[in-house]
Amino acid sequence: MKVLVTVKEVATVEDDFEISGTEIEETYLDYDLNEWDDYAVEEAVQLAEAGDDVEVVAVTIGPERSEETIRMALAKGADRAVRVWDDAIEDVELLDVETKAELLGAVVEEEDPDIVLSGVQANDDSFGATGVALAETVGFEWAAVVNALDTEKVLDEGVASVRRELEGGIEELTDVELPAVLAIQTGINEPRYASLRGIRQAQSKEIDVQSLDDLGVGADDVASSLDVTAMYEPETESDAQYLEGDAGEQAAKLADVLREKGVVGE
Amino acid sequence: MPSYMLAQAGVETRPTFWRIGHVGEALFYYLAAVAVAIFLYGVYQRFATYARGADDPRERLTDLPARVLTAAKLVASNEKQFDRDLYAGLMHTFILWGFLSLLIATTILGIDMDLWTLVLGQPSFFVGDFYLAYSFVADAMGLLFVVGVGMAIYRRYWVQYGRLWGKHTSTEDDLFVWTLFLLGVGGYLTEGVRILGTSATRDVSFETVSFVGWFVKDVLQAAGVTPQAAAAAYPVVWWSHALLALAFVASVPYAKPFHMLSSYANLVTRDEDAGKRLPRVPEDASPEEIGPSDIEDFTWKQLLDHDACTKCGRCSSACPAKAAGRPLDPRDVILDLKAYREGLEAGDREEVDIVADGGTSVVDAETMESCMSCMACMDACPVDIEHVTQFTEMNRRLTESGQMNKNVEEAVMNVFQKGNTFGDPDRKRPDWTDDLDFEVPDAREQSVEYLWYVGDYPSYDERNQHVARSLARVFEEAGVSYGILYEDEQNDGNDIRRVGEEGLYEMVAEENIEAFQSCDYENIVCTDPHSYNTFSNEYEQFGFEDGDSVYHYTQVVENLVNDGALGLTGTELNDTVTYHDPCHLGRYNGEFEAPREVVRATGVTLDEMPRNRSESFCCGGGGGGLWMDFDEETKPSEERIREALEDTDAGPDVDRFVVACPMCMTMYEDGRKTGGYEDDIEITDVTELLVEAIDAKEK
Amino acid sequence: MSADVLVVADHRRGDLRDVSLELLSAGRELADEAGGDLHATVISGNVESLAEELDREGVDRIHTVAHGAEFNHDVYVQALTALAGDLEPEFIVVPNSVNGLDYAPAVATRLDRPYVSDAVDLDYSEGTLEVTREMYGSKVETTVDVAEGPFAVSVRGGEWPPAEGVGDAEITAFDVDVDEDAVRSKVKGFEEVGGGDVDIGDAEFLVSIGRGIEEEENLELVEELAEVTGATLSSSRPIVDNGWLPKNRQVGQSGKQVTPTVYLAIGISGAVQHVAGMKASETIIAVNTDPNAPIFDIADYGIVGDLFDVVPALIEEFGGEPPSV
Repeated sequence: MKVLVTVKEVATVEDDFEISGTEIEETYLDYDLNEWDDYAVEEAVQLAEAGDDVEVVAVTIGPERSEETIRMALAKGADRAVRVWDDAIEDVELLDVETKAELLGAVVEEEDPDIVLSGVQANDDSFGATGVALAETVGFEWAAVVNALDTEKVLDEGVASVRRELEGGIEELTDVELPAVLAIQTGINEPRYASLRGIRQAQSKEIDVQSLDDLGVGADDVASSLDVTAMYEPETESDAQYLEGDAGEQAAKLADVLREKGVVGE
Repeated sequence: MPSYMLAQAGVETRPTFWRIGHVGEALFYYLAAVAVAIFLYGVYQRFATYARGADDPRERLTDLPARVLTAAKLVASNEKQFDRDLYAGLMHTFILWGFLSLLIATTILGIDMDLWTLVLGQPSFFVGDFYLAYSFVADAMGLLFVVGVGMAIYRRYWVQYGRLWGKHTSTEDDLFVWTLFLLGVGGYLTEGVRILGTSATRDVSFETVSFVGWFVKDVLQAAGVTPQAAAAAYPVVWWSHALLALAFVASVPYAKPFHMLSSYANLVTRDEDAGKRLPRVPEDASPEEIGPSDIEDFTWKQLLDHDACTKCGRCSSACPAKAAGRPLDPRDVILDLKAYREGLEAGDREEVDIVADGGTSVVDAETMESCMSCMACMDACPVDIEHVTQFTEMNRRLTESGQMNKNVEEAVMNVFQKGNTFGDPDRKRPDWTDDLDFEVPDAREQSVEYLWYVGDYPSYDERNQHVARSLARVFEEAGVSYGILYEDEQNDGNDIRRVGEEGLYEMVAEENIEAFQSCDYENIVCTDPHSYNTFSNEYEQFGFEDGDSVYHYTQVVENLVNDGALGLTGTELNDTVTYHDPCHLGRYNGEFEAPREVVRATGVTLDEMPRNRSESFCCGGGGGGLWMDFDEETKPSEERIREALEDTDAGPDVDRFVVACPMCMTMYEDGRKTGGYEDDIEITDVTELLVEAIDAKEK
Repeated sequence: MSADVLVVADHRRGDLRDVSLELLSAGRELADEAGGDLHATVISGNVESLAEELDREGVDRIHTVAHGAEFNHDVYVQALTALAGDLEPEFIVVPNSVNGLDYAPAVATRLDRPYVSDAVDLDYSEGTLEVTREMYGSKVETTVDVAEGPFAVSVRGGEWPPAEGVGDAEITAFDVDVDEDAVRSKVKGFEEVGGGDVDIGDAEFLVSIGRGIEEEENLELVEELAEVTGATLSSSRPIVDNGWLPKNRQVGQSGKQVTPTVYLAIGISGAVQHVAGMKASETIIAVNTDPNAPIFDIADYGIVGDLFDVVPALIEEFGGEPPSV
């Protein structure tokens, strides 16, 4: 069995930051493995640990810098990785869902996995669409916002028996035929720690860099339909009445509000 | 009965093998040979086990004669047994010296009988004045032995002394102490019966030198035992004593008495830097090979550690984690490992993980996470077991198997990604200097005498930033040539290493060394004892050559104070304070006096807590404790503040709790709040006290 | 292509979800800007009654696709593909709900439309759709131009007012010949997670705690506050993810929707998923150290301060003794 897990290196923004043009200034950015993908990697590795002869391949779209992050996935137990990059991709400011699905789709065609695990969303652009779009692109079945997966059924019956986390504390129990793409929600497992030694050792694992040519994707196909025209800090629309003073005074005023609303005894 | 012996009546000696007969004597020698063979086989087996252990990264057998001698001195003086416990020191000294004396006495007799007279055909020297002196000394030392064993029995069974009883206390402990007791008492009984028995046929008045044996004889006589009855009973008494002695000899390698050899061997092979300088892992080791997965992964010295343990419980009674109710008992960890190995060898235990999360392993992850790396256990251990090294290696296993504690993981990831445990950007590292009305020199741009490594907490933590600013003021005031690394500083790695993330430790150590080397400096001064420890003891493993020029700031400031550079008269402040020794400064590196000198120089009255200097009680922040949550019945910091306010001479009149470590500062500020001591005491760093004194002087 | 807008209703277990009515408002705005009609569709379930509920002012046509009782993304994708082929709407507007996440990207891909998700504002002029959306966990807002239609976009709940009034839309059944072989996922059922002792949905006064509490042991503090004020304790997602409180205490998109008289949010920054679950509370009071925390945007009263100072003081106000944490 082969498990493909899509991962993304995302930029995280410091609390205080500045924007120049339509981007956040580089000084205020740090790069890390996307939180959702961390859970997807863990789920993939757990599948590999539960089954015999399960190969886990991590795939990413990202520049050379992102290899640092990909190595985290390798250190956690992915067997090898594919990194898709090209100058033509670098020129695009904001990759659209379609392009991502197409690029990853080309890798899926090549790797022919039984199951693809992706994160529900990435915490930078938050499209929350790549996994499902990818499934449609390659003709796989799918499920989005999966917070439980029956590992044994995947291995023994070729069915992904999942729970989807719906709104309002409801979970949907669904069986999905393989091959399928599952968009993994946080909390599905406890992602393991990758030690520095593990990351260093993962240097010896293969990261196969694929260009557009390698994938047989044309440069025109990656031209984004999206154009970021502005970026700004959201205005605060607060019309809250602030209770001022030291903690004691604030507490006293708050107590008055609560009494006034009649939710506490006098 | 061999008549030639009685024929010698009038010469002062004692009949050996009296009434035992040639057959008995031969039987005795045969049994003795068997006992010695069993003993030797057992010892061989034990040492063969150690030989199968993994290589130890430290040289432990170089300069062996000196090692043997040093260990012998330690054993002879019993200084480690006297540490923190006079009663136990006396007890062990009495037993040890009593036992050794009796052993020597028996050996002398053996030489006389079997070598001198039998092989060499010389007349026995076991007569006359020699015999009298021999008997007197042997009786006296034997009495000491019995008294020592009696003290042990009294404490173990009558007092039920807490630390002597634990999870692994078993029949072997009872057998050991009672066997010794019976051997001691039995010896006197044999002697008394013999004196009484022989009194029928000769004048035994010279035997009064064996004053205890004589006393026993008197008691027997008073109880109505006739010399004839004594003579008749003698073989029974003698054989009982002999058989017990031989059984004891044979059992030595198989139970607690083995500590006579293993603990001594442990002292011979000890590493005086253990704990403060942790071993590296091989550069090419993969995660699976780091930290013990199987019992075979322990080094021979660590296996010896397990066998050297006498279950005395000193480590556990000194352990702050245990005191706070964390699930760690250092003695149990060592003995669990030993029991697991013995269980495997005996085939009655299944193979399990050495350390893991989930409760099926030999040692639980939570137990290892509880350790504060404060070294109290190692300081207290009379046989130099190296707990902290083993605990760290088990933490390494947890790290490499992805089972690191979640809270620690967050701190560790911050160090990996941002270079500090706070996860703040490195460009904010020098922000603490903003509030100063002078510029802190940049050691990257000018040559300085003191390269000041500020550290994570003093750089990023608000409370400790005040300490950093105070120290900067002291340096300015004294005209010290100093400078800092600004954003090129990174976490020192000391605690990262102690929670078991060796790979990350290697990374920060290498990068810090590179930052140091790009500067022109004479000495390094650290705010944090943790930095001081790892720079001076461990960075050498990564090619850092200036370990000897690293100082804790209290050492530098002590010199400034002594040189009068701060112009203090010693009358500036008049508070009453107590001083808490940080583990990494005191117990780790032996610096107890510099901070005290500085504290006293401000004019305050320094009142000591009962647990001071090498017996200091950890704040709870070491070994990653600062980053974790524990379910503690009394936090170590709360207990320590209680000690300051209740157990010092001034008691509640102690105004301040003085610290010399940023981690201690954080833990005690916390303990002061959670323990409800906010109105009772203030937490002050040594350098803050100094700045107050400078300000007072200026007024 | 027409200049029409097609919005897709969200429903579950017989109930139309609120976001569906908000979609109508968003869709109407777009239709007005583009000069087209507003179509709505309801797929699966009791489509007739759902369609009636959907019939608000401004809706021109409602297409019902009767197939199955509950949401199935394979059915949705087939139905929407067919409907889009028939109507050729310039805009397909769907909710950025959990189900929206499950079908919208596939529909857009199948129809070869650019897809932009989670819009908080939409603006159409001269053939260009401008989508306002957040990035980096709500730290920034961006405007993104989608140059070429037809478009597919999902919108965030709570950003548009629900459509009101009673409409006069033409409700027609749309026949879709669902290829059952292509339905390769099967919904077996639903499960309410973390029921249990307390229903925070019924509470009049909720004391709700978030990440700001830092450590599990500190929960004692808010438990005491709830005790002395007679409030019910609830929390944001991280507290439940950490296992510090049971799932039935969670307020938010994936937890409970609550509407108490007073919602006291302590150490909660106010991520959209949380706000979605409590914004309808009568009075919202927020305590947070960060004056820029989004929770203050929806709060009626705000305290900028450390919960470890404010909460003990508040406990004392009500005659309690703050536990030492």
